[in-house]
Amino acid sequence: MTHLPASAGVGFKAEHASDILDGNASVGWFEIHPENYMVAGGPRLAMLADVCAQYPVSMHGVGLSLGGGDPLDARHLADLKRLVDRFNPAMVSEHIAWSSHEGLYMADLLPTPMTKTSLDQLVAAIDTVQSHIGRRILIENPTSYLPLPQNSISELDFITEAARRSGCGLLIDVNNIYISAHNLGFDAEAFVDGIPADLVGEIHLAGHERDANDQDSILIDTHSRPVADPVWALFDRLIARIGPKPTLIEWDNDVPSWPVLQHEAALADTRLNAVRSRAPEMAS
Amino acid sequence: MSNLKPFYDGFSNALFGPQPGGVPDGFPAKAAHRFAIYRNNVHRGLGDALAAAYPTVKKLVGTDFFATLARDFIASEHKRPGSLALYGDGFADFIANYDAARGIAYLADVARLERARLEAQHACDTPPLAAADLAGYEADIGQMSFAAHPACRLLMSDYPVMSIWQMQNPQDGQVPAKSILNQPEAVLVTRPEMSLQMQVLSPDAAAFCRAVLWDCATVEDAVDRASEVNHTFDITQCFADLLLSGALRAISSTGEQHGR
Repeated sequence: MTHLPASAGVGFKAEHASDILDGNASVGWFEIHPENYMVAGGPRLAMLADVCAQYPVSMHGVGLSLGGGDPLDARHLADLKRLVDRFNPAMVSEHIAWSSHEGLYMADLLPTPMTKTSLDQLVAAIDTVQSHIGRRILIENPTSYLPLPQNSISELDFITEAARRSGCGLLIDVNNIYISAHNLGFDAEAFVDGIPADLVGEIHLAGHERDANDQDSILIDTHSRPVADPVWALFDRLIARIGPKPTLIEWDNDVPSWPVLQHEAALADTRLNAVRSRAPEMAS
Repeated sequence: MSNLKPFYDGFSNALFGPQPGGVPDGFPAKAAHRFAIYRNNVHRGLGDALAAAYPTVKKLVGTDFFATLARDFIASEHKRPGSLALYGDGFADFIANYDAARGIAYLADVARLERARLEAQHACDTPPLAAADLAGYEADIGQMSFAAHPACRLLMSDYPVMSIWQMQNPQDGQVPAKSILNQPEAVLVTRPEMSLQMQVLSPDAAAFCRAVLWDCATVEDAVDRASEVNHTFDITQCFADLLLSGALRAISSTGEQHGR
């Protein structure tokens, strides 16, 4: 298995295929959502085979519903395993969220209550996935818009405990931390400082927007623009402590041209390289 | 069941509930604005996925009507898998029974054509039958039957469904008809060399394909049926077209596709 390099990657978009499939794109790796490739055959899977032949690829799931109350969907797990077995991605990750309820997929990452019960369920779900596909996964901290009255465990404790107990790693989405801290009113820097370095396998960065119908100042995780300055600052703070990690630029709506996306990735690489040169012993 | 079942039930119900300003049970009313972000994401996500699967239906009915159609279709679903790559199965039948769409009689068939294209696009990559595969079988071919390639779909419509599709998708490279004749069209969708292809079949070729692809008829029986439609039916040309468009599955080593 290739490792995901501790450099910047971007989401693979079909519209960028001609820019990157000569093998010369100056980004270290690509991310795909396995759900888009859960088909029997055809040109989309063929294109993924081309990408995988030229770059390390991370499979970042959105549909397993790890943080839901239902058992995991056996068909979805089998489809994921088939993709992992065929393409042998450098990384497999999912979200701390739920997206299905009683067999109905909702096409969104919905907030998992953070309680002792939901933690037990999440750990069991991660365990099921890891034993099914035969490898360790990473789980991503959520974006929150709404405080849940059910919550009884802090988010940092919840994600840390889930990773420690299941043996998975953490995918830290710095934009999500910034948004959730703003929307729920916690201290983003304290959160970043509390993340156990040994658990972090990957970082996500993205752009966000302020809610258009603003009544109480909410930030929305839109993945539609460049990374905001305060998010870059949190990223710098995180990697200064834990060292360079594979870092994804997420830009999924209003997708820019390849040069613009590549430039955004280069900004992340500059910061990762700065950390690497300051503390070579931390380089991974 | 966990003690969180009421949370998941309440949150889901409120996402699909009738009042846009509602909140799940147990949440304060002032959370409505924030809850609406999830609600909007869910409906936009599913609506966009349906529009991506049925872009021509959306063009034909317009954005607003499509949004209503999508909302009602989504509300009617009892199962929705966690991958939307093949989302929208059953949408054509839903349209056929949708009162507000009765005025557009051909709409359900346009949806069937778009579904056929989507299924063909993502179907299994098994090799198609090639002319060379038939070498040595020339004497037996009349008694043989063939299976459709997984990426082959035959749509028999009472409407000029492909002409309507082409009129709405002129950028696809195929020149649309200047005017559309209101007549039935049989459309063969295939995916030769990984590239989606559609063709309108002549009535005799349609009868032949229907017999071969749907009824597993022997070539001889299929020719008989095509000849009932047109006594000068040209089997050589028709079979060559089927091979060229990759409509048939290669003969398997088990011989299951041979004569019966």
